[in-house]
Amino acid sequence: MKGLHHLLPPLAADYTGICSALYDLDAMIVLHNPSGCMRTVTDIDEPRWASRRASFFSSGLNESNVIFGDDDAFFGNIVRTFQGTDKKFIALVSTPVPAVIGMDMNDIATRLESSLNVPVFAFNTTGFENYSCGITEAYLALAKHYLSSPQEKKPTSVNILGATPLDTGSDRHLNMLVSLLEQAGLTVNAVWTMGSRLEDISRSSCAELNIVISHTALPLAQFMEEHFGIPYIQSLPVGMQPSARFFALIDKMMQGTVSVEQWAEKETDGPELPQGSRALIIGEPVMSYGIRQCLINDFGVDDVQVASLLPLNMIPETDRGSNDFTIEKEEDLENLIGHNHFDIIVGDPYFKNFIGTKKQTAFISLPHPALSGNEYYQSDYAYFGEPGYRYFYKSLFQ
Amino acid sequence: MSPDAAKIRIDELFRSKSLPPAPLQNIGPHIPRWGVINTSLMVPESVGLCIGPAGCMREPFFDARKYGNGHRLFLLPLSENDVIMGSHLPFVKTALLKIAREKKPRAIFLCSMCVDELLGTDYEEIAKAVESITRVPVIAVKMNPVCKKKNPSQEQKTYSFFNKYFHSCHSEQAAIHEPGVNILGGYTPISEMSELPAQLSHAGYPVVNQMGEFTSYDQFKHMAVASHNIVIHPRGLLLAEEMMRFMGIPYCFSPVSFGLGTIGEKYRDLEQFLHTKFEIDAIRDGAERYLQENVHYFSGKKIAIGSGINGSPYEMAQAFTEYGLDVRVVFSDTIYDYEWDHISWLSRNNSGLTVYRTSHPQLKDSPHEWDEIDIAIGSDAGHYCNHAHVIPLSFEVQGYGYEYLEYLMSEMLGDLKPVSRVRDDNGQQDRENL
Repeated sequence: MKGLHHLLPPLAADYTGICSALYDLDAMIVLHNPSGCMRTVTDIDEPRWASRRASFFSSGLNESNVIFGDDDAFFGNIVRTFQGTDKKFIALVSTPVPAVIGMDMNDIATRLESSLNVPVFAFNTTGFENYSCGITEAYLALAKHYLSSPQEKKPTSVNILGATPLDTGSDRHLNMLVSLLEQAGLTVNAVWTMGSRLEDISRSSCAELNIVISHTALPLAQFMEEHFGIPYIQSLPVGMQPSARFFALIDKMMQGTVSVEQWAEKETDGPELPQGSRALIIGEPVMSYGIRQCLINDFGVDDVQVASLLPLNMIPETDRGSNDFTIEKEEDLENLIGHNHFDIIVGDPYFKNFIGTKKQTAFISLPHPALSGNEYYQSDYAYFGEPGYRYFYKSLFQ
Repeated sequence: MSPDAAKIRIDELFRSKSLPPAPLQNIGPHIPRWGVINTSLMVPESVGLCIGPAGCMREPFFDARKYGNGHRLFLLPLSENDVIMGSHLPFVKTALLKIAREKKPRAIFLCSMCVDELLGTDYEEIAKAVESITRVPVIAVKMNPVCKKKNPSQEQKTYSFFNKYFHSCHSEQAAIHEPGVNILGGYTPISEMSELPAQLSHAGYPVVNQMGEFTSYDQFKHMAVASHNIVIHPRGLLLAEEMMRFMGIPYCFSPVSFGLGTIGEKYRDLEQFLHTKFEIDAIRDGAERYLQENVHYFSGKKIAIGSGINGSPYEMAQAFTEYGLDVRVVFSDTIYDYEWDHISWLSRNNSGLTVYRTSHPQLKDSPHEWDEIDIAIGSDAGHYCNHAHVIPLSFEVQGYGYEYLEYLMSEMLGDLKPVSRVRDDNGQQDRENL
């Protein structure tokens, strides 16, 4: 988003996306920035920090380093810190100051790699872009380095692509998805990148299907399709009927190996919303379209508009509504909500501020940590499968 | 991993005059921060506008929100191209004019980031231009941690931004002459339980201005015409020096202390500075008595003190050592000039004390190094000492003098004191109050 912000912070930055994608992979992550700037990641954007600290460090960049280009000191400091650890790789992550003065991480990465004999990834992030660019870049770097053609495929196995706390929320939500997949007779091979170890990630090319659950992972899915012939779907099983369709689609792609009966038996039992009901969903695109399907199919909402925080170009045009758009400025959202009536608004709790005194609008809170950081990370909500349906039902009717 | 590279004995520290170097920095929520934007927004009825890369905007947004200032903050994320080409300046001016017009603040703090500092962007000119159009003071401040290592410290420089503001209102307030005292260096007002405000009032200084206590802009401006400045934390020193230079207001550096002797010494400094005499003996006797009655509860307890406390960990370590307490560890990242006297004393009287560099990366992988510590004071000490009773003593609780020492001791006593005894003491206190 551009323009003046007052009610919303900017989305988490590209360098946060890199850190989030690599957090669980036993890496040493070095942010090349002034030390205080690391706090955006540790204090705000990385909810796992409170319970499980990864090896995140700041280079402690200062004015003198900038003026004199002290790359040798930076190199030496990383070597000293890395020695004695058992980390599997190093990630060098750039931030606004190195970006603006044109520092290039690649050269230092090459030197470190030959000196320490471990993989070293250089990410020339800038801090001017949002987290999605960072996650995508980290995924592709991992895939290019660690994936190779498998000797054999693991039958009925799937990878989940695009899971990070920034979009997915806490591992409670991810576990729900894994559980749904397992109940359908599937094996989760690897989760990019929450909970899976680097070894699991390295074996991702054995899977039969990739399930893309956030837009950040679409380039990775395309890469894996091109190089290893793994097909993918981009969908989220939000609520009841969309979950049935989700598993039917997987079943079709995996040629009848998925158990879909359980979904055929389940029907929504609640009242539908009155005819002409109108809803607005604000959030990450893949999640928003999953919710859209739920509101239309499980609750009978007639008109569902998506206001995406990120570009919609990764969503097929056939899935998009005619009024869907990407929010460019905070005032776009103010105008949209101020000048239109919505019976339901779904989104991060921060968006509640835009509703003001419109009491006739029901707000369904769905925290988006890439926006609101760790503030609502542990709050009680659900979106996958039946628990998701129950949460939406409760928010609308109770 | 052993944190050997991160530690130094206190006597070695005194000799070498430097903490172990940290090759990379381990920074996190265990080190408390207040932030540039919350410092600026201590001026009532003001608003802040932060400008810079989107990635740098989240920290001020959440900082402001944490302390209830979110509604007074605006952000203008810039594109990389605009920053490098310098084409963002018209956007900044437009945003300032819009904020001044729509929100009608009494002052605007325009906060720029490292990238503008390095590119030499001149926000002072924009501030002047907007001020001349709107008649609203626009104060350009900087959130540039890339300059963190410079002396004066980033924290001192941030705090000194008030000088520009005070200077601008000094002349318009010049007609006001009252023996007022400013308390500088704190982020929140000194606790009402503290004896200092009452002592100042009895000594002929009824007006005591404190950062964080004003609700109106007009009240806040009175700080510009106070007769004296008392600096209770070194972060306020640069501001005090500038106020003396530009406005002729003298200052006395009298930092928060925990040693009975040091507190007494600071009060004597203040008496001399203010040409007065405090009635402090009974309060001192009370604190001493409280200490004598309770110090035995700490027998055999090992203590760690961190840099996250609202005071000097070295001064506190000296005080506790004087009281016979067993201070084993200090966590520290910065040493202020005045702390060397305490380090010198500790090197002679508690040479077994070990100092760890708080931000050193090796501390992160040493989860059991401090398992023996029973009481950890400061959020960073609490972060590392897994089994300790933790007293954060952060800047959100501002005390001063003998009261602060008693407050700290009562917090430290925590579970150590039998419940019946606590009840007896409270009963005694209630009877005394009656």
